[in-house]
Amino acid sequence: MNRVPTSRADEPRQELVRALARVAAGDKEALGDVYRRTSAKLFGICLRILRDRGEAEEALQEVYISVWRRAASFDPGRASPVTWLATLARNRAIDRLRAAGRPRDTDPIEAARNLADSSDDALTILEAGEERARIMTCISELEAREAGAIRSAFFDGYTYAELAVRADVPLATMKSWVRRGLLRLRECLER
Amino acid sequence: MSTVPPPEERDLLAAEYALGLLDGDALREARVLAGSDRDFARAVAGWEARLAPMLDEIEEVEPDPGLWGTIQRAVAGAPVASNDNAVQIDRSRRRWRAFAAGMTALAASLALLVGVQATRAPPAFVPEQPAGVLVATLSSEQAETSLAVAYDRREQSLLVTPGRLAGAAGHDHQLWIIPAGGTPVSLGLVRAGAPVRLSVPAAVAPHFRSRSAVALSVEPTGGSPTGQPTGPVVASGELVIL
Repeated sequence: MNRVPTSRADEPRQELVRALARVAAGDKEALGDVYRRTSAKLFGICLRILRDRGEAEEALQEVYISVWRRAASFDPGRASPVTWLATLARNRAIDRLRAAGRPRDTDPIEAARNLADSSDDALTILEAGEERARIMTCISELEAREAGAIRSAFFDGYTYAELAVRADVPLATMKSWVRRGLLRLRECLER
Repeated sequence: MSTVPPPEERDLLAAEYALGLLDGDALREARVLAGSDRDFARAVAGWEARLAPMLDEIEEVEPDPGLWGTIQRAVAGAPVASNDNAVQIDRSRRRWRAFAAGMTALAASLALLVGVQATRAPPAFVPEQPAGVLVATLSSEQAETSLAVAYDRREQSLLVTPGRLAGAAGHDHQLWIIPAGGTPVSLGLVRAGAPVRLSVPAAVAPHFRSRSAVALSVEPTGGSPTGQPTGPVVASGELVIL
């Protein structure tokens, strides 16, 4: 097998890929290894989305049980292990949020934050990691309402129908905002 | 109804699915697509990768130290799932939840109905695979449609237990199996009422494996004229080994 020389920064990623491969082979200790390396990040994600420690802990358990069951479906050629795990955590947390019937109406502070974050200043973007900086830059190029809707869907699990109600616009309007935003986002990220 | 969207439309649909913007029929159709169409599944994964860096803005938080023990205990008894193309249909998040909620009771009743043999193996014999019964619960988002299926490998037959099945005049419900990365294969028509046993042709039997998707679509009376689903998918689920 070709071994591409890895830089120092790549090493943790490679170790995580190897640990996931061992999990896929049924190695329970490797799952512990994955947990030690990633649980703080994934717990942060669950907590941000669910905003309830108990719920976030339940979600985190489900995430690692999924990792145990599904590690074989992780393809290191297609996604970084952290992306795969973070997406798993995000999706699991959103599922729980919906299952709980979303008792909260998004508080106005969060709504404002979704808008504010979409126009991060240049310094914040500079300090962010490369991938994050790219998506921040691209989101900041969208119109505020497009960016706000995309972020609300991503972090709060709102569907089109819910976003339309919250913004008090017809469903078709919301769809066209989001779709235009997504197309521009894709174009910007491919630049 | 389920016309194949042009590439641009498809990629947007993949983005909408990845973001969780869809509900109702659109969600069900995207889910079946994600489970049956490799390119679509890849497009969904592409969007997930594009969006995931947004999660980097979230600060890390250490979970309670006791949590790892709970996970270890949960994992201790669970078998590792088969690894065949699991990624696509694994996106069936709602199905999974429905499965978790209803599985215990369903498993008990289906095991009795389908194959008591499974539990009758001599205790000294530990099979590589868990007992050979595959089950799936099919449900829709608002649970207006639900049914359970159990596949008996030995008999090559499928026991279909309709739960809620809203009849529509001039239409039939058709059951499909969708192998990971494959196209739907008809299993026959399903009507409300008592459980029925459908025999599964030898050519279709290999599709019955853990994590294949099973879906129910609304079709013209007598079934789909094209051999592929033409109407909306009203319920779907994922096969698991009991």
